[in-house]
Amino acid sequence: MRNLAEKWPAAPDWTTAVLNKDGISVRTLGGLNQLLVSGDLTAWSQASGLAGGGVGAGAVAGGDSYMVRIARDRILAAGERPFPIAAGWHEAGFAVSVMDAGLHVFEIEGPALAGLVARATALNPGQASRSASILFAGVNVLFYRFGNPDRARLHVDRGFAPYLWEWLEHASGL
Amino acid sequence: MSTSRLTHGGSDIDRARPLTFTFDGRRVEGFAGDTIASALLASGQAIVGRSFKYHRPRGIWGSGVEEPNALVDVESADGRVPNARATTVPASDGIVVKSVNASPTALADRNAVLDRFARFLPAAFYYKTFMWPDWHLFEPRIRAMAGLGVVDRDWKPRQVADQINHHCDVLVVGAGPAGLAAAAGAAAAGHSVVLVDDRTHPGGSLRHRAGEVDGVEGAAWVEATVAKLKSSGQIVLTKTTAFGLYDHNLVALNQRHRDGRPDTLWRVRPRRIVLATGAIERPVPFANNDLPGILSADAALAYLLRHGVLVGRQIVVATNNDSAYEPASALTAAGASVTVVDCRREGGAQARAGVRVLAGRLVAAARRHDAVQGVLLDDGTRLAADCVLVSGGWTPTVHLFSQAKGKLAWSDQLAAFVPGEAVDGIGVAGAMAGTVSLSETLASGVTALDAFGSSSSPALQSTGAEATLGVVGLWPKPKGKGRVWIDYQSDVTAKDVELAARENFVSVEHLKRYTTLGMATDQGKTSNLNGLALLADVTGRAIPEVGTTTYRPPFTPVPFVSLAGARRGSMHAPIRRLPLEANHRAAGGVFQEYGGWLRPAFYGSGEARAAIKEEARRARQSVALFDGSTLGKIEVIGPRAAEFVDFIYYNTMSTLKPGHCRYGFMLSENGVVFDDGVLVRLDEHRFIVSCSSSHVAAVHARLEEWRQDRFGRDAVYIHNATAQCATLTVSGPNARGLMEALDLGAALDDASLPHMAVAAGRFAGDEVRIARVSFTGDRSYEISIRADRAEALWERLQREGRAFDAVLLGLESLMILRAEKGYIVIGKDTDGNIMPHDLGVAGPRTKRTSEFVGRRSLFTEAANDADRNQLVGLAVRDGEAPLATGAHGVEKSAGRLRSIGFVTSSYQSPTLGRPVALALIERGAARHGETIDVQHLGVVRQATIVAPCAFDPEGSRLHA
Repeated sequence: MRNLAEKWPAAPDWTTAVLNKDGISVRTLGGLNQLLVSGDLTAWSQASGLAGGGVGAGAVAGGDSYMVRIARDRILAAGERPFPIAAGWHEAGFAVSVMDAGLHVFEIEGPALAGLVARATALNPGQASRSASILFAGVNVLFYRFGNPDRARLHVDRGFAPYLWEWLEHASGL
Repeated sequence: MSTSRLTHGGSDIDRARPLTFTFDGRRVEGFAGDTIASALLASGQAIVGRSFKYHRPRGIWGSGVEEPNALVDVESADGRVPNARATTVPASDGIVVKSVNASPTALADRNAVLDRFARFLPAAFYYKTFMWPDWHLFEPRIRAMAGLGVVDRDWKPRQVADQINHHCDVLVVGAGPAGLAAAAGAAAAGHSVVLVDDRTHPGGSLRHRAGEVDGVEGAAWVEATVAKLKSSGQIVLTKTTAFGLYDHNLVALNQRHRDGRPDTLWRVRPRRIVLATGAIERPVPFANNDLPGILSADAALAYLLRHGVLVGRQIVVATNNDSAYEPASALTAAGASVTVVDCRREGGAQARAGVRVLAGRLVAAARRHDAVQGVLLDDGTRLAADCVLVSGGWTPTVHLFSQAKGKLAWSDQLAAFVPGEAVDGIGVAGAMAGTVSLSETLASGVTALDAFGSSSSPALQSTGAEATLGVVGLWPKPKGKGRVWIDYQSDVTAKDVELAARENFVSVEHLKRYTTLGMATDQGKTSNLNGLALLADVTGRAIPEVGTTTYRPPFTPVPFVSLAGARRGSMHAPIRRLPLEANHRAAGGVFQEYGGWLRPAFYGSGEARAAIKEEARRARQSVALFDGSTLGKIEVIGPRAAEFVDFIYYNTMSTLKPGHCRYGFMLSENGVVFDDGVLVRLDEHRFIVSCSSSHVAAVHARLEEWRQDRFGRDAVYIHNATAQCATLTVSGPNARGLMEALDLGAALDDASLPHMAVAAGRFAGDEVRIARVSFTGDRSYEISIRADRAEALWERLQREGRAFDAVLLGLESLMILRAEKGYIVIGKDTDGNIMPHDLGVAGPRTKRTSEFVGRRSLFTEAANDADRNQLVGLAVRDGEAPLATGAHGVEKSAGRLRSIGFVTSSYQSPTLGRPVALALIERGAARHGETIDVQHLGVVRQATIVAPCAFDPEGSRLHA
């Protein structure tokens, strides 16, 4: 029986792995608290204190905690500190699931970010997208900029994080 | 054919940079800027390939993507490119060029003898000839003879091909005068522009035909316009072919590089597209019109002015239109003796001094040896010639327009199809839109931007001589003498088209498939119109009544390496990875792909079968540790969550109490078992669907679909939280002992945590969920912990497990344990017909009164069929080997063997010391104890139908 571990390289140590490549730097952002929230987002905003509708693909988020828009009734809340809101159903009209460990977060930074986006996504840089949920290198991610236009965050199902890392290592033109 | 390089001229070549390469082993000299074709012509190489079917000698016909003959394999330091068009590949120093479909060389092809038997090999002869006794007897040899270039099986790209997505306001395809006018207009209006052209240099016809714009000579105007576009930040891509136009006006571009990089794939999404793709000159029909030395008149002009190559000394030009006179004049000026045979009685007004014109005459045949030596006219006149140029009119390059579902309209004036009704977002310009003069062409470039906005600056003016066409139809005629070639690349003659029509293949689509007209790498760029014109004549229809075949991408061949980009090898189909993969690797895990996950099949470096058996044996004796992180964890949350899971599941789930779980089926709408698994109820409004590992995405989509379709936005929400938690399984007689050693803070006694109950605990400060469910039949606990903290728990389990002789369990040994118990795997032990009552779970079908997915299908005639396959176990005689998975149960019926079902799972059980098997057998549930025949690869064995559960049928070990 062939050991397919030879075909797929082992994932790097995410705590130290950094990819520097032609104007792009990629690293894992650990420790981000993440909640998946669906339902009445106005009620959620009142409960959480997070204002706004959440950033879409390519838009710039900022601050200690913020929301990333997924669908008209769904967001991912991300923050450096835990959210004081329990998982489950809330009578105010929203559902919450914890995704702290479920979504691996890459932080990508550098002047070549636009080139990377053009290779990984079909995003139109000149047109805002309401949802941050897009295909990136063929897998579903949440993608937005953070702090400034040259820095992006990308949340991906943790099972696909090694694939995305390999893609970033090998993709041409970066 | 006496082609030669002139001592001067050639706008594309740099005579200061000579180069050499070989063609079929012969040295060829050229200059930087040459294509392989221009260098071959300059070196006097008349025969450059052999035809696909008859191995006739063929020479260069065109000068661009339309080339049907000059396909070559090109070997360089970057590898071998098969079937490259010599007319579009730049010549470079040291490359090795080989003709295709020729052995050993194009000049001396040993298969040339096939042409002598041509009368026995008409269109579709092999459809008729090789049907008896069996086509498959002949197929391998025929396939070996077919094909053109040779693929290098060991070739690997040196790097990943780049793929770029791009958005712009205007994409202009074609950088001829119309395209340049459109691009300049769009840029001046402030739009972002991408201009692409498949040639090395922009300019289109202005690079070799006369033209003057705003008082500036054509080539100079081209250079100035391109420079202005580039300086204003617009993108100009040469050596780039727009090969496909897809939904929502997505355009795919193939960009070729000269530095060894694989081709780049561009996916451009413009707001508006301008197609200025030009037109392709048509061949003229006469006998032997495929001989080397017969080429397009426009190509001859291009080779003369771009590459300084004179294609002959004694040239006959056969034409039906005015455009042939410019090449005739230029070649005369270059020193050739040129006679124009113009089928129009009034033709020849454009002829310049020195050009002889025979008006009202037709070329009836080309005289031959291996290359053209002269022509025979319709009045019997013989003309000596070392080269025959043909100009049978122009076919607009409407491929991309048609791919966009644009309808074509027939133009009698142009004797061609042109774009008909406009397509949203697409403008057409230049020769592809049917313009002839430069004035019309420049104006059309601006018109193509209508409704989108172009510059208000003064319109471009043509200030030089204007081209005219005056074309008349010159189509192939039925019952002509000799072999008149319609499609060079597919070796289709006029007689083949006539034969197809006689055999009633009178639809143009049928004609294509019967004769292969318009197939192959050139997709009939030079042949389609002549072919369908002849079909129209033979069938008594007008050309527009016959219509065209369907245009599909790609316009030109695109390398797979470019289409693949980074998605190749290990990145072709992304596979999910376990949170504990590094631990499994360190423990000697041997990995396989299971349902989109990379998982340990077994552990250790020993022989696989022995290792798997040993894991299964020890799991039954002590305790096993298994990574079940792939199990679905889809949360169903909301005020109507209980009602929702009732509807989704076959089993009633709303009666489940918080803190408990229940096994159940999900059905498809047709009643077939779609998935099975455990549903956990955490509280009144929150459930977790723990579905099969490989079905998570499908189950998630199904839940979301039904939520949206039936339950609305406020009733229930679906969150796929599978990745959030790792699930570590402890199973076996010593499972409870090991669990207690972990001290998770939860009571584990059977009263507090009975089978199919759930409890909360803590490990190292993190909350964990403990579920008592079992897929082995032994007492088992599933501990779910956030994935990024699972490693510590896994290590602790192994450490504490040493005292219990714990064993790591791979997926293969788990398969043995569950098969011993008769536990099924959906998709393996079920197929697309199996309903829950076939698996022995009939209760909900008969008792449930509420609606659920698939319910109605469970009461159809087929669902009630007494002969349905049903899940059973199969036992073999003592000492026999396991049955083969997939082996069929058989019985004799009317003297023939008939399948009565098949083996779905089969293993050697180390615990029982005998094989166990699961099978789906007709009426199996009522046939326990019956011995049936089981056949595999012609060997028939006997097996006895038994209950699916072979181990601990009382289930006492679940509580041991």
